Amino acid sequence: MRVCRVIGHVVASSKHPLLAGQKIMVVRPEDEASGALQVAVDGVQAGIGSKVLVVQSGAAGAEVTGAERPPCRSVIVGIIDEEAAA
Amino acid sequence: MKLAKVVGTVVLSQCIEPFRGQILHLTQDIDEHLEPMGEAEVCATWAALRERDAVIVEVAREACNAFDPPLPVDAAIVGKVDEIRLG
Repeated sequence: MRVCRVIGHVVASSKHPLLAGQKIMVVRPEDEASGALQVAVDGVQAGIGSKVLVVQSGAAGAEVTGAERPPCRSVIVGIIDEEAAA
Repeated sequence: MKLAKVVGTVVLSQCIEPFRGQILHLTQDIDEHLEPMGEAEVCATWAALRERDAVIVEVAREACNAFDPPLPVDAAIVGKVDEIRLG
C-alpha cells in the first residue's frame, strides 16, 4: 500500500466493461517527485488534492468492481486525514 | 494501473494457442507532461487502437482478467483515454 496524492482524473469513454462507471484518478506516490503517470480506480470518491491510500491488489479490484476476477489491481481504498510516525 | 501511449503493434508469426488472433500493441508510459518515457512494453488489448492513442494499462496477474477466457499475459490495455485532466 502506498500513500499517494490525487493529481487529476481520466476521462475514458471506452474501457473494459468491468470498469464501466468507475472513476479513474491520476495519483502520484508521495515519495516520488516525477515519473510515469499512475492511475487507480476511486473507491472512496476522493477529490483532486486528496492524500489517499492506494492498494495494488486484485482483491481490492474485486471489491470496487463487484467482479470475481477484475481487470484492475490499483484502487484508492481510503482518504488519509492524518499520518503520525511514532 | 498506469497511463501510456500506443507506439506500435506487434505481430506474432508463431504463438501458443491463446495468443492466436490476439491484438498486441507496443506502449510507452507517459509522464506529467503527457510525453512518452521509459522503455516500450507489449500489451494485449481488447480492441485495435491507433498509434498515439492514450490508454490505461494494467499489469501483473489482473491483466489476464481483461479477457474471457483469461489470457496468459502480464500487461493489458483496459481503457482508451479521451482526456487527462491534471489539477
